[in-house]
Amino acid sequence: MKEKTYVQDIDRNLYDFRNEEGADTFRLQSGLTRETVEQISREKHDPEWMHDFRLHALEIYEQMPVPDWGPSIEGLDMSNIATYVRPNTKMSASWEEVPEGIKDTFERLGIPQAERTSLAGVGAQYDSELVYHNVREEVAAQGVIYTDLESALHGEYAGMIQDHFMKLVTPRDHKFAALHGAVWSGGSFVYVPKGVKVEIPLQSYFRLNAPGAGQFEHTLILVDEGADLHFIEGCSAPKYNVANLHAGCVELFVGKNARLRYSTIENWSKNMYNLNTKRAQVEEGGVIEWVSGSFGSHVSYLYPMSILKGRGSRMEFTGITFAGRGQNLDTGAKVVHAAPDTASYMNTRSISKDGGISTFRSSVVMTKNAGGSRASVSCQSLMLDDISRSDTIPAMDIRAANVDVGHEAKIGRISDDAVFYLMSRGISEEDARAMIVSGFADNVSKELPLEYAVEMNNLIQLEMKGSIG
Amino acid sequence: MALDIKVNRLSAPTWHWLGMNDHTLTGIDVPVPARPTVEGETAPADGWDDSPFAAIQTGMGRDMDLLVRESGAEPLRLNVPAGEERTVRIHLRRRAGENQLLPVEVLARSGSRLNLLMDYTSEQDEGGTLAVRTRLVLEENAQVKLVQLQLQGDNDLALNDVGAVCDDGAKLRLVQLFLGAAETCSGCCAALDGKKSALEADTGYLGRNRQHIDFNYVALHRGKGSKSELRASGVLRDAARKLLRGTIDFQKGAAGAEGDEREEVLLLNEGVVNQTVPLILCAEEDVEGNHGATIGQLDEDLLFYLMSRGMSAGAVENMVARARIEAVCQQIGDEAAEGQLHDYLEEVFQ
Repeated sequence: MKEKTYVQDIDRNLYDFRNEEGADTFRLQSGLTRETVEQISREKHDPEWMHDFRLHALEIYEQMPVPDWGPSIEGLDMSNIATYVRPNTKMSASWEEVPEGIKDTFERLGIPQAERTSLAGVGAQYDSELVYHNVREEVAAQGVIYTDLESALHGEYAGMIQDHFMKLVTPRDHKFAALHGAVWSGGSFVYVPKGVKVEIPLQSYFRLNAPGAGQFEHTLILVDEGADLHFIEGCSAPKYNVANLHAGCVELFVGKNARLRYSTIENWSKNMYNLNTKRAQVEEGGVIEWVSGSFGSHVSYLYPMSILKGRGSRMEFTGITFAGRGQNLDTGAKVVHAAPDTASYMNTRSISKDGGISTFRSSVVMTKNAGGSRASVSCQSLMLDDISRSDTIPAMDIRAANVDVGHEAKIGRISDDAVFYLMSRGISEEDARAMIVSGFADNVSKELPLEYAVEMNNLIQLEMKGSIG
Repeated sequence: MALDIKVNRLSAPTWHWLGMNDHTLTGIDVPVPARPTVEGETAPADGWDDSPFAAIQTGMGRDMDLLVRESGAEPLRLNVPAGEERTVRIHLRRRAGENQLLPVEVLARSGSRLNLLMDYTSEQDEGGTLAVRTRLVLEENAQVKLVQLQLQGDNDLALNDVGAVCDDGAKLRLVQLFLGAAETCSGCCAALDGKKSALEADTGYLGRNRQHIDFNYVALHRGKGSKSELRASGVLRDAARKLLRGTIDFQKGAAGAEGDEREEVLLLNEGVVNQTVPLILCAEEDVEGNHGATIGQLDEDLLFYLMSRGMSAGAVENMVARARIEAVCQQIGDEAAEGQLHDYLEEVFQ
């Protein structure tokens, strides 16, 4: 009979270091009330429309039910969540001006180094506020705007923000979109002008340091006609024994013949409820590419959605989810083909290990206007032991006749033959399994810039370490 | 009295806005017991034990119990003795002005074989409900081939519910064709409890006019080495709509199990609606689950080729659509039933 041995995961101390909150950190009382929302609005010096928007979103939040179709979020008690925690600093465009403790956090995460070597601009959010934002001069000279959303709300882009803010993801979308509308704080605004191609990526990094807090950043990106951008989002947090909440929102507007690649390596700590909402609207001939790696969080609900609004627009989604002990990660993607000759391709991998639960959930909707469109979905799941769980729940709703839709799903285990083969070549069983899993995840890592692919592979090695099945 | 029931619940719910989590039927008139014509004999049902049947999960779900209870219909019981082979035909014709219900219970004892052919027709009228619930217990190494042909009138509501439990080595072979009725709800749930138990299902349908077809198929893998193959093949034209839920559920302990689900849908018109939600649920490491779906229009090369040979586009569509349905017909393996289908299709494709 085959024997199995389980060894504890090694420390995730690369991400799991804490910076104690200083006495002068401002932390809003836990819980969500009208007064909380009013206070955040005052802190943010909101224009009147935003103040009213927040209160309206709060009303919707209070009316909407908790989702009853996904993982349980019973452990999330909003009365124990501080919706706003401000570090004791203002946003700066120089790392030198960022307080030592916070700067040290981002140094350890490698953000300043990445900025120097491979990024066109960086935004760094710490708890509820941006602490650093900078964009390379030559990129700014092309007319690219990369700034924090709150500055944009008060400056010359105020009209643009008002025209687009929560228009794609409205507070009525779901309960946590409404929550986001009420208490959002921080996040970035990007505008890439017509025809401008940003050669190297921009990155936002979100760090949630405070225990029992929520992070509600809002990312708004407009890529104008014929422009091109790669935007990278990273996130992490130290682990606490209390629940933390991430309910961010990403809205992407991809113009005619423009292209946007949006990459995420999500590595929240395993006490995090990650209830994030991402959506893109794509005009004629435009392309949205999502690259998504989900490794962290206790519970995740994450399904980037693409609305292919213009003729010939396209979407690609490449994702990997790795659910380990104590994790219930419900991830996937949604696409609506709302114009003729559109195309979408979803390609995902899910891995479950050590009691983790991974669910791939998707929807492909083709409206009556989607004649001549094509969609393809491929999802593969790997079970690494018999105490884990892996589900696939894909849905297709096709309302046009001259379309082609393909779907394939596979679920299985690591082939004993493959492990045996690698072991016969002198590789240990643990390394053989890690190699096979890395190969299984290759569809995502090859889509990432080298540095991030390395980080992702390291995360897989980290997750695989200590599991001999 | 009219009933509201919710049937065909998805094994693991998804976003409500998709409208795929279940199907609600409102204002269903309580049916009266149906009077089927039965050909072929089985053993007497003396000392029949109801309890294994009561525990069976069916595809349409618990709300069908309510309908059966309210109808007051007694089940038609088919008892197949151990090691014996039987063929039974059940003809069910809904009479004009009536709503009818037939519960069927099948006990296939160890090593027995049963060919059970059921056809549903109706007298043409303004429409009514014909509901059939079939529950099967397959003991060790029993084999049941269940063929169900739904050829009801164009205004009917057709409810067809199947639930089965399979012991070691038992196999349920299901062949279904849904060609009539204004609205069809069909469900099948097979609990593959036994070692190397199996479900093989072929479902064919033709959705036309404003027909609405709602399916829910579930293979519950509990036994080691259990196997399921679910195949659905259909054609949608005019303003027809169809929703297929298919679930392969590998439960803990089903080591070595294999599940495969395939779907092909041919969309012939603007105005059709095709919804599909194929689930694979997995709580066991050592399994293999696959799903594949191909949804789309007629192959352009084929269309061009046949039109170049003098066929009109409409004739090509009819030919291909009919070929899809007849491919499922060939799985029936009964000349009389195939002849009945042939006549029906002649009329439909005229």
